[in-house]
Amino acid sequence: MLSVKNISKKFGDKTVLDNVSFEIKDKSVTGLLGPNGAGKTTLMRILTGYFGADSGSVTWDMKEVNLKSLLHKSKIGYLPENNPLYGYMLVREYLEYIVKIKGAEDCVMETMRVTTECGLANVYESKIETLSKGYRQRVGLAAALIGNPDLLILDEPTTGLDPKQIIEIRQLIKKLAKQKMVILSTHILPEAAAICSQLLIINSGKIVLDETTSKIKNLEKKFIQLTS
Amino acid sequence: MKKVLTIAAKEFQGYFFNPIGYVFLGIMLMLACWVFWGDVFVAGNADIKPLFQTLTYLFSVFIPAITMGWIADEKKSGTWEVLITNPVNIKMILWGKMLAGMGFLLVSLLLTTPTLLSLLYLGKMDIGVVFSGYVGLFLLGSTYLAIGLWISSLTKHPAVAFIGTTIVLVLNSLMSQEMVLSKIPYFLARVFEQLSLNDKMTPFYNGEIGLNTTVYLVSTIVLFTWLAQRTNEKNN
Repeated sequence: MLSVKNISKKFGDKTVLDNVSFEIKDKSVTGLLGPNGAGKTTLMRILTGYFGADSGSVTWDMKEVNLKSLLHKSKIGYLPENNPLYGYMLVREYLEYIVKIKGAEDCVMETMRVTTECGLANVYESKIETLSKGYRQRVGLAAALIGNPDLLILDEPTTGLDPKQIIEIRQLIKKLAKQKMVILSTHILPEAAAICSQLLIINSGKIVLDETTSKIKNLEKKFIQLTS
Repeated sequence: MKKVLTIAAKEFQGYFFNPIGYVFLGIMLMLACWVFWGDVFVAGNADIKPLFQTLTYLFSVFIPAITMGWIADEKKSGTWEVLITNPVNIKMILWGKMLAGMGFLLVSLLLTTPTLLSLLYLGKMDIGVVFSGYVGLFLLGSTYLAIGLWISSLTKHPAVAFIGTTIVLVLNSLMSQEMVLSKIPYFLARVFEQLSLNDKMTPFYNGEIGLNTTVYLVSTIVLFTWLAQRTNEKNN
């Protein structure tokens, strides 16, 4: 179980996160919802160790975590918003590169595993810059899966995808959640309702709802109520 | 160390996919050979030192072209976030980039050797002077790379990093120029002489690999790489 306690973050005078606390169970998908600028990406970036928090702590299985440590980073997989990739590299080269910097043991086997898992076999030797948005998203997801992390953090993983690609990515996330913790942020409420077991709504840096999805009857109405 | 080498290998490979790298390398080699052969044929002076001196000045534009995207481009494209959230720290990333840049610098210097071979054909040459000259150029270039790395860490815009690094390196070159030193107060001229990296090259171009100068240049490389590390750690 991942437990986030009283995380706060300011940029200058602006409070972006204000005493954010929540818990996430193993083998679950937690959806992070909120309007633009609510603090979703900042929260994800703190959990990945990209930003430091001003205060608060995170415990994982009852142990306090140093979010900037290499050990913590080796346990998480992260797909950032807009999925930045090195366009000039081949899919194979990029995945091998990530395998090496993650320090995964068998480079070839690990690359093949994530390639198969994310359906990248037919673009394996293609340049990333020539791929469609859907395939690029899969490459980003495959990179996040390298090293078999226990926690997957996905920032708007279906943005810009066509309906078929959205369904494929959703199915993949559901499959992954059978083995690990997944936190994803999205603007699409039906998507959150369809794949998440727990929902967190964040507004102006504060958690305004933390509930299991099955207990929320009208998500749209609730969202508008809590964020307006 | 393994991860540093992985980053270095990827960065080094990246130079060969970047047309800017080729263009600047081509221009640098062309200008260096033009100035050098002009000296050989016009002045009848078959000496390697003018080549070293020309390269010293050309590095002020060539090196910023290599370093401008090192951090600025990664931050602009978002790949910096990918790197930082993987199990590597900023120090590993920066030294990986430095090693790759030093590798590219070495390749660039090797590409000037046909000039050297032609000169060997034309006359006698002191191999010791050639060797120490190349060692000096490599150390100077590496120092410039570290300065460029730090300046690239201060901005998200590669063009700003290029202009900033070029200005700093040109000012460094001007600090060793007699025409500048003669027009400023004596004490300031002494300070400039001490600070200028170009002036430190004279013993290398005369066949000496001075321990003091080598330590000074290596310390400058470490200092600016550390400054880049601190700047990036502060920004994250």
